[in-house]
Amino acid sequence: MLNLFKNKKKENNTSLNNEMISNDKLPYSKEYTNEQVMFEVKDFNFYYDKKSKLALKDINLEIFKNKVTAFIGPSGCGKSTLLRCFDRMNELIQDSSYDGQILYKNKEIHSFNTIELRSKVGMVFQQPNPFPMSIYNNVAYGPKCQGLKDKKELDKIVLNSLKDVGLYDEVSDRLNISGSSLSGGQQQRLCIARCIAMSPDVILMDEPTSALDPIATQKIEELIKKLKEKYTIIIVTHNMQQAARISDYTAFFMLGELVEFNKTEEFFARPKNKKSEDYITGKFS
Amino acid sequence: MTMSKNKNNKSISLSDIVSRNIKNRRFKDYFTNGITSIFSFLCVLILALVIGYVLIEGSPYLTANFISTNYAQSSVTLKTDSEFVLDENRDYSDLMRYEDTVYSDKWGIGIKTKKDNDQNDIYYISEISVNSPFNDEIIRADDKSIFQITPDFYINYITVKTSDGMYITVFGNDEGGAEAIVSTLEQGIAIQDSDFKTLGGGIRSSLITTVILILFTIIFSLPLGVGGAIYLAYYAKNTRLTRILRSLVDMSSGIPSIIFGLVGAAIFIPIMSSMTGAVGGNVITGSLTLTLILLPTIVKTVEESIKSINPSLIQGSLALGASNFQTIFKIIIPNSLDGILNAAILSIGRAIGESAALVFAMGTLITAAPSLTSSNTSLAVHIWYILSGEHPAYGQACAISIMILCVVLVLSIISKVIPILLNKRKTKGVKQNVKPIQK
Ligand SMILES: Nc1ncnc2c1ncn2[C@@H]1O[C@H](COP(=O)(O)OP(=O)(O)OP(=O)(O)O)[C@@H](O)[C@H]1O
Ligand SMILES: [Mg+2]
Repeated sequence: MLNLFKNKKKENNTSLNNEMISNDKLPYSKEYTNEQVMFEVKDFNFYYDKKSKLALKDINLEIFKNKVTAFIGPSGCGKSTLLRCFDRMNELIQDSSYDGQILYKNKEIHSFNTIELRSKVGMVFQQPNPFPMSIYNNVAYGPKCQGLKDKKELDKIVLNSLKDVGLYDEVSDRLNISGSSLSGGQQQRLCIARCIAMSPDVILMDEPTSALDPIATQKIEELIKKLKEKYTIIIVTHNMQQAARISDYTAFFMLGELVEFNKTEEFFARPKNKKSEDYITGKFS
Repeated sequence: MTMSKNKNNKSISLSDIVSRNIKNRRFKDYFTNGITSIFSFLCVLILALVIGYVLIEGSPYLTANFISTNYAQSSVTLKTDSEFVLDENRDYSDLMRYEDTVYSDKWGIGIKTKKDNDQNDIYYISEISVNSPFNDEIIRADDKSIFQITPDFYINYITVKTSDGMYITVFGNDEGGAEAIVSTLEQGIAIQDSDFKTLGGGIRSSLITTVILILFTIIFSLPLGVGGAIYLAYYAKNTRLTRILRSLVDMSSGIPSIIFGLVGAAIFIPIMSSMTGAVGGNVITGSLTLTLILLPTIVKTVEESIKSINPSLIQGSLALGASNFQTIFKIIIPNSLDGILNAAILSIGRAIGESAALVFAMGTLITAAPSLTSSNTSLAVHIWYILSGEHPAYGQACAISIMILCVVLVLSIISKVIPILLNKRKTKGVKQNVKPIQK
């Protein structure tokens, strides 16, 4: 029964992009063998509303260590859904379910408990969401929740995190003011600092600059380029220029399916799929 | 061309209608204005009448005595020992002399006048010399123990024995006042019989009971209600069961409180008495019953407040690896403080004002010593009690009402101020429309 179902889906998939499926399950050629794999998504399907809405169809994808991977695609294609699968935030949504596997460092993500997984896989939201508490406590929130009490250690973490996101010089004298009294761009960097304070492996970002002005956006982009030395970053964006500017790999989604995944330069210069090409050239959005 | 003509025609006819109707419509406006303002004036008038009546009737009775004395009188019958004879040469030089006090130099005491709760004069012994027989030679008629009389006791009557073996009795409410009492005492050489009473009719015990009732009600209802609200708003999935639970909670806020009182009396009192041996209702069963009444409101208030928290804060906390427990205590509760405090205020107000349920669940017996295991009255039930007797004491009831009204006023002011104080924090907080993720 289950098998039948799967086969059917594969047929669908084949009809969408036949040339890629024929050579492997992956919709890209496996030529990046020298990269270290952080996440591996295998035959992953995701459903909302008691399986009545299929949001992700048969996704196969690898996320590489210390690289920026951009998820692009038209609105509603499931970028955020896939992103939220990596830190299991989707499980907060009632009546959602999945099948298939996501491996984090070669282990099924469901073999971790959520607290453990989420302390290794941080998330930055579309809207800056600093907690209504002081800047210091915002950054120290994660480590404190993990049980770190040592004041000196906390101070060090807060300081380094704020320095890493370039916020320290701007707020060093006001660590006790409320995090929400900062500007939008500063708030978003505070949220990134909050994430970094956990020293995660991966940072998931869901359109982190869509609520910000160009200058604040530029700052965040520079920050992302800097951060990839230490962290693996997955970023959802609607802005193709942004994806081209900051990402190493690009995954293009449509209607819940992964259409194309490639090195960013390759993807934008020589898209292999007609749909990717149409999307890049702005034939639809 | 024709189009514009048509348009012109239309607008002319419309303005015609407007000018024709304008008077009519104006009149209707004035009429509705008038009617609504008369109605609102009536409402205010009724409120003013109620408060005015309570204030005028009650304020003369609202004295320190009224608040500090118990409702029940206690009385004590005192005498001197049968062998006792007052010797003449006692030294009363330590007695302090005041102008408003009448002194008996033979007995070494001073008697003062004060008003009781019904504004009558009463007399009490305010000064006692160390050498006075009243200091250490007055005994209780029943168990012969020495009784130290205090200013709380006023003189009901005193019967003295004279040197020629006669008995003279003076009553506290006789015409002569303190002087008459003193002159009677001066004729005596021993006290054959006397009766002292404490002032009754006060609300001390009911006041204390009310405070205890409020405390216990908050202790019982707030954790339960906040816990329930967190469960419903945070944990509970949107299933048929939780929908039924929620509508039951909604419905039960409309049940008349007397039914809760009945249930409280039928369930809590037997449980309490089997556990502590207490007979009948008491403060604990009363506050448990109030908890029943209050839970739906508390759950609802707090749940609303939790639901108004920006969901991205909760998600942000969880995404940082915080546990549910940490998210509840660090994000949810601090950000729904306004709802929790409002719920506490609602509880206090209800505990002060509720009477019907408490009549059954806590009892109506006004006792002198507030205790956790015996029947007691809150201020509202006190009113019920003193009005339900043969001679309803409207004055005292109004005096209590003033106190209740004051508390209610203060509470409503606090509940207005809390959001302002807390909002200072909240408006500083994030206020964007983040796609709420339904749970
Ligand atoms: N909580 C939910 N319940 C039901 N369906 C949902 C839910 N969240 C998303 N969906 C559906 O899943 C599909 C994918 O949504 P998703 O948010 O992942 O898209 P997206 O690619 O991030 O779009 P956008 O670019 O607009 O953010 C959409 O069709 C959406 O309607
Ligand atoms: Mg999205």
